[in-house]
Parts: sequence; C-alpha cells; structure tokens
Amino acid sequence: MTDAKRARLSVEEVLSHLELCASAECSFCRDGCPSYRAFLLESKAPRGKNRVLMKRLPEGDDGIRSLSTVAYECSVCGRCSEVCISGGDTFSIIPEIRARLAEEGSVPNVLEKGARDAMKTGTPYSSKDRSWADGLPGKGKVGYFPGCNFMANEPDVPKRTVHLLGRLGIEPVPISDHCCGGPAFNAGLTDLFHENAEAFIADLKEKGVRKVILSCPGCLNILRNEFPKSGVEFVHLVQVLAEADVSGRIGMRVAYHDPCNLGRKSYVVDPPRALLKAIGCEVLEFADSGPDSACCGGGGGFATLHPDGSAVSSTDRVTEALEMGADAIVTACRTCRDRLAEAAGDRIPVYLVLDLADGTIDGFESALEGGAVHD
Amino acid sequence: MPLLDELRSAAPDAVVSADSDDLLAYRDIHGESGRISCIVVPGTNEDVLAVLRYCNSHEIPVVPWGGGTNLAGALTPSRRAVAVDMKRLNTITVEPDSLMVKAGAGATPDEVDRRLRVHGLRFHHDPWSRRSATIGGALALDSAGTLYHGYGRVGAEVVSMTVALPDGSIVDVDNDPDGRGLSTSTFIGSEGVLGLILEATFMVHPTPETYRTAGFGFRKLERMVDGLQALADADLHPDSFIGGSIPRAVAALQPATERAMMKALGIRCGLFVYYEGEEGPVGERTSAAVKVLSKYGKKMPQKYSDEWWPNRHTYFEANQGAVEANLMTHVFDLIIPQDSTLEMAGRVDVLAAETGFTDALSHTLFTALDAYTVALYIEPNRFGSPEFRAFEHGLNEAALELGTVMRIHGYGSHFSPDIVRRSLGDRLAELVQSKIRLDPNGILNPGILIPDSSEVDR
Ligand SMILES: Cc1cc2nc3c(=O)[nH]c(=O)nc-3n(C[C@H](O)[C@H](O)[C@H](O)COP(=O)(O)OP(=O)(O)OC[C@H]3O[C@@H](n4cnc5c(N)ncnc54)[C@H](O)[C@@H]3O)c2cc1C
Ligand code: SF4
Ligand code: SF4
Repeated sequence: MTDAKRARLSVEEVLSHLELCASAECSFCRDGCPSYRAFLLESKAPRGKNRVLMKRLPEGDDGIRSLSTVAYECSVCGRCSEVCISGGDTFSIIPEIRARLAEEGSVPNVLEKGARDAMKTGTPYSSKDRSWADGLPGKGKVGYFPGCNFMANEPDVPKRTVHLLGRLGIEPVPISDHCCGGPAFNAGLTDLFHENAEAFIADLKEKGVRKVILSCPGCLNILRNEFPKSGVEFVHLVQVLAEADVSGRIGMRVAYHDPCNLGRKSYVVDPPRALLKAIGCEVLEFADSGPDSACCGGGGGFATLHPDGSAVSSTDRVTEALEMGADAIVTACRTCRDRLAEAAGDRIPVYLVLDLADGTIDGFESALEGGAVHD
Repeated sequence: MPLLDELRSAAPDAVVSADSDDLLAYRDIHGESGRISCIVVPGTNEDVLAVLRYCNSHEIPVVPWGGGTNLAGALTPSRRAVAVDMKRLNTITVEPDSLMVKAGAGATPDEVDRRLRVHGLRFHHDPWSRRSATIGGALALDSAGTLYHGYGRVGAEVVSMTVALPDGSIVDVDNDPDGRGLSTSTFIGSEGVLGLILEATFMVHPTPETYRTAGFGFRKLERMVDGLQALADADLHPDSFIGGSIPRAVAALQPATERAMMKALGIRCGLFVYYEGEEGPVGERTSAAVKVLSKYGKKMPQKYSDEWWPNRHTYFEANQGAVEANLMTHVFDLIIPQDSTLEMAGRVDVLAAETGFTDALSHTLFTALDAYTVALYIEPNRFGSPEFRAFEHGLNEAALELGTVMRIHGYGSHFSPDIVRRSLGDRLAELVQSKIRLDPNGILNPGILIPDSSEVDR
C-alpha cells in the first residue's frame, strides 16, 4: 500500500481548524462561494457551514449524520481556501466530513451508486470510446489519459489531442483502464478511492509511464493532489502545448475562465494564457481569475445534486464575459465548458483551449501558423 | 397558518427557512445562536414590506440582516425574531454623468466600487470588511473606512434613501427633513431600529490619478504619535494611514521577513501613510512627509509599503501573527482628540497591566488622528472573562472621559445602557422619540442600541 497524500483528521483536529475561522468570522469568502450564490442563505456560505460544523461535530454520530447538506452543498471549488484570512476555510475539511458521512452510510444515493459503479466499470459513464488509442505504443515513459468524460462524451477530443501530440513528436502510451476515482473521492468513499488509486498506479508502473498528460483538469487534480505518492508526474495538455514553440493568428478576444481544478488547485495559470497569446488571441481577464477564479458551479457533484443552484455561478460568469466584450469564452475543462455553454446559449461561444490550438473551429482552420506545431 | 407558511404566502419571491442548521448560521460574530426563529431572504422590496406588515400586525420582532459583520452584537435582539436577510436586494445603478450611484441595501461596498471603477469613479466607503459588509448594514452603523479622513463616514455622501418602515409602508427621504421630520440622518446610524434601508443614492468621486505610500518603524508609540502630529502641523495629514504597536503576544510569531525587519530596525511600532491625487503634488507631499517622519522613526524598505495599500483589506501584520498563534483579536474603537492620544494610551497601558493583558495589547491609529483602536490578542477562552469585562469597562470609562466610544462598529447589544446614554447624549433621546413614532410595537431590533428597559420596549 502506498502512503495516502491526504491524512484523515480527528474531530478535534477539524474543530481546531474551525476555531481559526471562529476567531475571525469575516465572511470575506461568502460572495465567491457557489453554494452561497445558489441558495442565498448564510448557512450555505463557508462561515455559516463552519458554524454548523462547530455545533454538530461534537454531537457524535447523530451530529455527523446531520451534516449531509453542509458537505454536499459544496462544489469543492476551493475558493474559500484561496481567500480565507484565517486559514480556517471550509474547503480544507469537506473531504474529511464527506469521509465521515460515508462511514455513517449517509452519502446521497445518486453519488454513492455512481461512484461504486464507476469504480467497477472504470468509468462513471455508460461507454468508453478507446478508438483514439489505436496504434499507440503499449509501453513508454509518457502516457496520455483523456479522462472518462471525454472518452464517453467527446471522443473526438482525445483523437485530436493524440494528433496534436504527434505533431510535437510525442507518441503517448494510452491510459484508459481505470477512472481517476474522482466520483469516489467526491462522495467521500475513501477506501474505494484508495483501492482504485492503487490499481491506477499499478497500471502506470506496468506500462513504464513516468509522466502522464491529461485533458481533464478534474482528473489532474485527483491524480496530482489526492493520489498516494508514486513518483509519476501529472501535467495538463495546455502545459505541454505552451512549452512547445507554437504560433498562430486567430485574432479573437477571448475571456479565459480558469477551471478551479487547474488554476487554483494545480496552479496552472500562465500556460493556457501563454498558449492562447501564442496562437494570436487577445486574452481578457475576469475580475476573479487565476488562483482566485470564480467557480462555474459545476464541480464536486454539486451540479448533479443541485443543477439549478450550479447554474447561478455559470450565468454570472457569462454575463461578465459579455460585459467585457469578449468574442468567446475559453476554458480548459469540459465540465466548465458545458456549464458555461449552457448558461451562454447562443449569446457567446464557449471553447476548449484545444479547439483554438488545433484550429478545428469553423473559420479558424489555420489557427496555427503554417498549420504546424513547431517542436 | 404557521408562521413559515404565512411568510411564504406574504412574500412570494422570498426564500423562507426555519431549518435548524440555517438558524445556527444566523448569529452575531462571536455571538450565541438561538435568537432567530425564522429567516426570510426577500427577492423584492415588496417582499420586505409584506413581511413587515405581517410581523407588525402580529407584534413579531424583526432583525434586518446585512453581512453579519458588525462587532457589537447588533444582530442579537433581546427577543426571538425573524431575520430579514437583505443581501439579495443588491442592484447597483451608476449615473456617471451626475457622479451618483444608487445601491440596493444588500450590495457590498466592494461591488459598488467595482461597478464605479469601470467609469473612472470610486466609492468613498472602503472598510476592511468591504467584501462582506452591506450598504444597509454600513449605513445602519454609519461605518468608516480607510478614506474616512477625506470623505467622512459612509453616511456623509448619501443624498437620498428609500426606507421600509415598521408598519410596512415605504418612504423616500433626502437630506432635508420632510413633512414628518424624516430625513436620511433619521436612519443613518440608527442600527436598524427605525426602518429597513432598501436602497441609497451616494455622491461618488473620480478615481485619483495616482497614489504613493511610505512605511516607517518607531521604537515607541510616543514617537509615532509625535510624528503623525508633526505631519498634521506641516499640513501633510495623510489621505489615509494605519499605524500601531505590535503586541508581544504575536510579535514573536510574525512572518519571518517582518520579524527580520523589525529586528533590524529595532521597532515596536509600524506606520504606513498614503497620499493620493495628481502625480506631481502627490510625489511632493510624500517626499515632504518622509522628511518629517524621518525625524521620529526609520523608513522601512519600500516593498513593505508597496505591499500594504493594495492588500490593505487583508494585510495587517499583527493579525497574521495572531492567526498563527491561534489568538482571537478583539478591537475597541474610540474617538480620542489627538492631543489626548498619549494620555489615553498611558491609561490603557495601566489598565492592561491591572487586568493582565499587557502582552496582548496593541494600540492603533488609523485614517484620522482622532480614530484610535485598542486591540487585544487573546486566547478565545479569555474573551468575556471577568478580567476582560474589567478591561472593557475601564477602557470605556477612560474613553468617555477623554473622548468617546466610536460608533463605527455599533452599540448593538454589547454596551451597557449607561455607556450608550453617555456616548449618544441627545441623539439617544431623538432616537427614542422616533422609535415611539415609527415603531410603536417595538418590532425592529428590540434591545439593540435602545436599551430594553426604555419606555419604548416595555
Ligand atoms: C474583518 C472585519 C473588518 C471590519 N472592518 C471595518 C472597518 O474597516 N470599518 C468599519 O466601520 N467597520 C468594520 N467592521 C465592522 C462591520 O463590517 C461594519 O460595521 C459593517 O458596516 C456592518 O455591516 P453589515 O452589513 O455586516 O451589518 P450587520 O452586521 O448585518 O448589521 C449591523 C446592524 O445593521 C442593521 N442592518 C443591517 N442591514 C440593514 C438595513 N438594510 N436596514 C436597516 N438596518 C440594517 C442590523 O440589524 C444590525 O443592527 C469590520 C468587521 C469585520 C468582521
Ligand atoms: S469549496 Fe467552494 S463551494 Fe465549497 S464552501 Fe468553499 S467556496 Fe463554497
Ligand atoms: S472561512 Fe476564512 S474567509 Fe471565510 S469567514 Fe472564516 S475566516 Fe473568514
């Protein structure tokens, strides 16, 4: 068994973390919290959640069982952690609370069933298109893991990515057997999550992979920040492309939305911007961007459990992009893209960075200068 | 029909809840829960009026809820009440040509300022809590921010207000009393006991062309106070500043660079000054101020003052140290005429020694020479202890003798009726008269500001 990265916390440790917030109670984290924006009640903002936790946690098992709303009405976006002045944010302890709820058998059904099925079948979706992997080597140092979401719902993306990587001279080993374990982690099912993580890492080791390129920031966050230490490096596609010598002349004004899992949790902030600029975009910044970015409202099972609530945050983001006069919103995460596109309707297009980088958007066929990526 | 259903049908666009966890979150900072029976989050002004009509006719107490950031128990009524959370009423309309902004009660100063910045304008109210306080709460307490020296408190720039009265009627007031004697000043600083502020229109100002900052270290508080006085005498009063002593309780835990700086400079006291305006004059004023202050203390490396202003809402060295030490900060805001600051500081030192708080004590002056804050950095279990109460009592007595207790954080339910009476004087009598007239059933904020024992609440 490899060492788990995230240590479990005792009730006393959680309470002393909450004491930090209790010493300030400033509520600076309120307005950026998607859960607060969705429900508009103090109890749904981090300070309110912390007050409820402080009261309920010492009440033992009954208290813990009552914490389901506090724990799952949260997109685990990490925004409260970024702005917190005391170090007593809610985000840092949500995984522990979810883990305790799981131990008490109090995970919402839809999340628990989804997670168990996903860990069994290797995907939270009903299908997994692996045609993108045809012809790729079975062993090698660099792997590519598109993430289940792309494989099931947009198999074209892994195909285009493999093609693009090929132009950079990278022939990755396909990684596709296991889910990253995000659904189990988000539900709080820690044992299941670790079982899956062990299997995932064993697969990488067997294939000789030392570095994995990912398309999905959600998977990147899980693999990079929550997996046991394995010595394998995990990077997002935009990092690889930004390091390559690419150029283009797209000529669009784009508002770049940092996915929480990429900008805040994995500190990948400059590469997507550098890449967009290199291919000829003017990059407009949201007022809250980079590690401080506002959440699209889609993460951590929040959109599954509370679709209407989650839409509030994405709608705000779209409104801001329109006010900035952007031609398009660009992001690096499929979930963010879908949330934002749903909120945008036909008011403004929403793209993945990849769409611009590989020039597959109508009218922008030659996004890359000379149609080539220079190594 | 139970209360909840009644409120839901009266206010169809409101979120209404009496869920026990929701109620737990509706309490004052460091306060006890259990004072709120039900929460209403109105979606429209009509919702507010309907809730007031219902509560007034059933004599149910109501607490207007803003950001919940006041530090005086101003959300802790003496009777269980319905909380009316105003944060959804946050529409902001900028009128750049007439240099005005109209803001809903629930908007934050930060949101208002951001909307103004697009037009090259800015909001004059810039409190540390700008991201979480609301316009309604700020006006109810007449709060003050970092630009207080130049522009006064938040209420100073108000030109008109729309207010929901306890009987559920609505009134538009401006700065001149109307036929009933009601004006903006009736409601500014009235801590929500006379009406619910729905929206307010403010004068706004162009964003200054530029600004400069400078930071100084001093061996003693006296040197800092003398330095500030010398600035004022030379007509160089900073447009904003913050300066104070660093308590021993947290000094040892300052972040490493600051610790090194403090050691190198041998300082126990830090001051940052800020000047704004046009490029030339700002540069000249800052240079002149640096010359004056250099006679009293040592100039800090510029990077510290460069960091301070953009981070002024989160940055305050002692607080970082306090957080690391898991200490709670409790602030007491006072107004002490500048020539009595040192006498007051001396009395506070004696008081701290008598009550055992010497190591925890910090003195701070901010934004204007009479604005004086005493802070205690203490373990949470010492908050409210007998020695804490003794310190607080002695401090208030000394403040009332040499100046007054500042109202920016409200009187709420924390101050004794005696302190409120002595601080407010005639204003309290006026408030009581207005209360009898506007809220004969005493439903709004019972026990807040106007003591329960008064004839109004009986
Ligand atoms: C970290 C921190 C920093 C702070 N910095 C400053 C500072 O720099 N300067 C300063 O002055 N204060 C500061 N404060 C105190 C506090 O933020 C201010 O007093 C603020 O103006 C309170 O606004 P609120 O919306 O949070 O009011 P609340 O705490 O919600 O309410 C305060 C009072 O106003 C009443 N009220 C609320 N809304 C309305 C309404 N619409 N109509 C009528 N009555 C209403 C309430 O019933 C209550 O009695 C700080 C507090 C914190 C926690
Ligand atoms: S992690 Fe995000 S959704 Fe959860 S409490 Fe913090 S800010 Fe709110
Ligand atoms: S979690 Fe942090 S930012 Fe939020 S209220 Fe508590 S101390 Fe303030």
